[in-house]
Amino acid sequence: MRMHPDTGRIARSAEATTAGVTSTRLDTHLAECGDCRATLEWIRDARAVLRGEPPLRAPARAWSHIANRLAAGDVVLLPDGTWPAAAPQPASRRLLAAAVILVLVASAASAMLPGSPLRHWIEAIARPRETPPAAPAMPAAGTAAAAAGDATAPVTTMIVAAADGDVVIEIETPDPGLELRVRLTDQVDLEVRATGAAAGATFRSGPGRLTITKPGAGQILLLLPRQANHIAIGVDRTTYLVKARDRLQILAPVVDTAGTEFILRPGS
Amino acid sequence: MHETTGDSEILAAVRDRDVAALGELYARHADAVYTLAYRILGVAQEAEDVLQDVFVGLPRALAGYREHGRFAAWLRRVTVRAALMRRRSTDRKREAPLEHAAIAAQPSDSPLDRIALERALGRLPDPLRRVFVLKEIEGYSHAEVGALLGISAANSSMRLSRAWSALRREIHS
Repeated sequence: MRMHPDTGRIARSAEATTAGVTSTRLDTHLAECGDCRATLEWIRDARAVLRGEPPLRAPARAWSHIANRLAAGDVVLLPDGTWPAAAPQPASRRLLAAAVILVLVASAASAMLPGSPLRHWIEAIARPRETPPAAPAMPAAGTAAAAAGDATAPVTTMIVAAADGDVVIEIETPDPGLELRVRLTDQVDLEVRATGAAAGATFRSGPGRLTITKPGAGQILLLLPRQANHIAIGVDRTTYLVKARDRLQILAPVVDTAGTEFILRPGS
Repeated sequence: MHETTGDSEILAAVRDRDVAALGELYARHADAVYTLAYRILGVAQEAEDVLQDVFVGLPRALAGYREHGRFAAWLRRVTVRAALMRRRSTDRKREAPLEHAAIAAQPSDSPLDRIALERALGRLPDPLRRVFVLKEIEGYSHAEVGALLGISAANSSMRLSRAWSALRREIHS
């Protein structure tokens, strides 16, 4: 029974052939098999059809909406349009690895020689030294980072006063690693504590409103006052949580709970 | 989305918040931005949202634009990333894919059924369709697709292979 390569393999072959690379075994099969040649032709036709399509027309109303949003002072932070720094190519990685090995071998050979400065240095650092016991580190007081056991993590804390009992929080383009924790408290104002890379987000606030843009992979703790009339939390324009008087409604999947906290992962 | 010779003067004016200049830029690039967003998202309304966001955010974003002479390519990458971020936040709300009436309205000389092809493309799982659109239609290399999607070039190649297989099955099922 003759085995046919799947469409994906033939598509890869079509791509490789364009780039001047061929697979002898596949070429032989294609020369003998009409079905697979037909598949190859289909792939080429489909590619030509899809690449040759003219662009769609942007909706006519879009420009007036854009102009209105600009006139209203709407702010949109766009993602970066530059390429990330190029990763080292396999060949250069191999060269780098060879260079590192060469340096290590040369260093080891040098350390073997009597009187070598490198040998003296190794002997010096290998000699045991008496050191006074280190003083215990002082705990950082009152920060969420300290509570989380990481005293060096950045922390951003904000208080958002309600406007007529209402608070709206919008989180824009969160990192997939962001953890959002929500807890009801007896505080008067809503408090936001961002830790780790989330503390590097852009925070914009106004009466009854807070926008958090591009929070990184960290934690945002939202302390919601029980007595607030209405609190809405949205992520990229999707409503995640609504508190209306005594009713708390979570509209996104809760990945976990910790005590009285709900844990959400808005970026995943 | 081809480079246009007069873009650089317009870009300077857009950077200075000149709405008329932004309108000129919109006239040159809106269709391409919308088409690209639509192919990635598969939903006309979401593509329009991306189109609006891109042009509302452009005056501010151009402050950090350093790729002189390559505006069209830069705008394309911004559009891809904006669409991917929107996709991530709205995955649960996805509508029927690639339903745009404009596709049906375009004549075709190809023996292949273009509409069936577009629909089959729209039914591909998102991870496969994104790679397919970026590689086969937009012409990015696998390394570039990988950089845009946060995957390796080998993974991009594997997804493309699976996308072709799935597309063929969809068309012939």
